[in-house]
Amino acid sequence: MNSLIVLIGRILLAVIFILAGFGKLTDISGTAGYFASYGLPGGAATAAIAGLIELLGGLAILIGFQTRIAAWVLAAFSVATALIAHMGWSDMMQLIHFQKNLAIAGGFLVLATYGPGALSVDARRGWTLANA
Amino acid sequence: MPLASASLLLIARVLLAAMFLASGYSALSNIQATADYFGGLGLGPSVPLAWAVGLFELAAGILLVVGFQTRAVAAVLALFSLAATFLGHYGQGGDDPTAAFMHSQALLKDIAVAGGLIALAVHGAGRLAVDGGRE
Repeated sequence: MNSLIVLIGRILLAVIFILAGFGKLTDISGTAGYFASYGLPGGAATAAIAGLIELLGGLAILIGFQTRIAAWVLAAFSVATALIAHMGWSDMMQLIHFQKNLAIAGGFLVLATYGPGALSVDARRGWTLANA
Repeated sequence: MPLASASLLLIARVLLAAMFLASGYSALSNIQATADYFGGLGLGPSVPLAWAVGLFELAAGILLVVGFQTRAVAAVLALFSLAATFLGHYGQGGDDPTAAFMHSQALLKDIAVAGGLIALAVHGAGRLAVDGGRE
């Protein structure tokens, strides 16, 4: 039962990253332009890397593959995104998004600590909480 | 549980709680504005609802941080987040593409937050908590 609930939690955590990663990778030039508006260097390469982190990280969380590493990466990604894109707190929506990104990072830290549960690739490959 | 894991869970709880603490405080510090916002969404009675939501968010945020009844609080907060985000962000923004995008992103983020809260609800707060790692 618990492993099913954790799987549901992983699905909920993964959805936004899979969608956002897919969206970036299918519109590299649009994403590069969006990134440039935040002063990010690297253009299309940065857009592709960000998209790959989101898509592959989201898929890893979804299936529970190398879950602790993926959770750490996406936690760091969420915090970095908050610091880059959501600092204009005079707009309340930006402050709210900043806080939501931090909360998502917190959720990933929970996952990084406890692992993905039994319904995961990691569990099938012998990962358990005991040998974490 | 190693101290490093327990510390990580404390940090995770603070990160998860911050948005609810801020939102609850903000709702309570201007009840009329909160009530007007709820009224605009067609929710009511708006003033009692503003008080209830503000107090709930503030209390739940504090309980998450201190780690008291963490599993129950996280489960309730996950359901609250899902309900609140569908009421507040689903299909909102109208014809303004920027606003609509912001709302759709907020919706997806709240869903992710609920996912993190669900993981916390299953496992508990760890030993740096009032619950003290009790199951």
